[in-house]
Amino acid sequence: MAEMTVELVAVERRIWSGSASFVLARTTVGEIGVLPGHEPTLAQLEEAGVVRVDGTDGTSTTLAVQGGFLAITPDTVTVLAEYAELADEIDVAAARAELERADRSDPDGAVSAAWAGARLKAAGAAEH
Amino acid sequence: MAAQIRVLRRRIRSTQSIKKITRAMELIATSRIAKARARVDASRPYAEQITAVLSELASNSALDHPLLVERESPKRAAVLVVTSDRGQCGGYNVNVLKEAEQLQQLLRDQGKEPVLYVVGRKGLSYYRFRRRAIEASWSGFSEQPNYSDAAEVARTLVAAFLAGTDDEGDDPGADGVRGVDELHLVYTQFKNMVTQTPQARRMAPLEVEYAADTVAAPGSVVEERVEAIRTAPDQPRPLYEFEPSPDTLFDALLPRYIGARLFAALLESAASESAARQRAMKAATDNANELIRTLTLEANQARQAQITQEISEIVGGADALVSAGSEN
Repeated sequence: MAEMTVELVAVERRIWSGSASFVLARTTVGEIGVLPGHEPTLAQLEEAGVVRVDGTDGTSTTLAVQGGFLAITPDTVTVLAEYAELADEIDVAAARAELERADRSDPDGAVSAAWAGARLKAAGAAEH
Repeated sequence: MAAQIRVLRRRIRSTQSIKKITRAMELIATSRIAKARARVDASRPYAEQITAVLSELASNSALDHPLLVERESPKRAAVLVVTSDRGQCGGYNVNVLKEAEQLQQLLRDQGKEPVLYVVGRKGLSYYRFRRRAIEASWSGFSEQPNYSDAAEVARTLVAAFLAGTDDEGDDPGADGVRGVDELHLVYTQFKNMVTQTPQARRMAPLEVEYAADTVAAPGSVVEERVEAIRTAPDQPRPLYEFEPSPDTLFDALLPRYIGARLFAALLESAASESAARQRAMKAATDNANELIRTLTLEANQARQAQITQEISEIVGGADALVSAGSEN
């Protein structure tokens, strides 16, 4: 089975790296699914979003990403993020509180609301 | 005599408690150096990747982004000085500030007006005392900086830089922002536990290197430069797709690149600060030990002198009594 090397790096640390068979992310233009052998692409991810990586060992890693970029070559995928949290590291209660507290009318509030929303979505706890 | 011993003992006690404090600060600083260095290492993958991505972009798009192009007649240059929040760190702040003064002199000689941005309370009070204008300052994170701190500083600087000096004199121009044409950074590079040197770097416009066949030496994170790799016919490079357009990507990437570099500089400065503090506090602890030793010696001498005097007084008194008794 074809595979590619995936690296998820945040500014403060490397979050995850390994080989994967599929990466799902949402860019500013739309959702993108990456399989091995994808054409080289540089993309900006939406301000706060969710990235899913399916590893070759059958595991699936989900994480919330803020201010991210996606760099794809046929055999590597790199996700660069200002902030990133793995799904199982996310404090759902804190994110929910932040979402409720955030004031969507001012720009900073909208950013933190979006970030809290992305974290909830990544943790699989968003209200549908 | 008794008063002298009491004073000496009091000085010994206070020196001992000072020693405990300096010793504790030394230990804290030692552990913080290790932590800061680990964080420098942890931030390296991002810095490397964003440099790589930026290099790809630079070689694929036209290099006319304002962060890459030298302004024709630069008038104002921002100087960001990274100092510490607390003292007790030897010559750390003095060295950074000296380097900053030199840079400002250099800029003035080139006909540019330096604009001060300060990180850390010590730098702030230095310039305040000298009544120098500070454009903006941040403090409270010099020992353990987070990326959000660096991002905030970067946002301010990039905004000022992109605004540019369209204004005449001291009046803000049409955009209402007193912008700058260049961004400079003065921070302390952590070479090893004993050597930390203040460094002045230009952050923007970025220095673009055209690497045709030379391989850039891997430098420190802060020093990395954007390479625009010229597409030579004999070395095919992947043709990238861009989502959205390269120019939009550039606009989004560059502030983050500046942020990442700034974060690296803050972390290195934090490591240097801790190292300087560790050395200063070690010297203070050693001095306290020495002081305690000499004071103890003095106190013992005084105590012995007092005992000797008491004995001679008693003997003298007894003698006087004996001789007085024999006369009766």
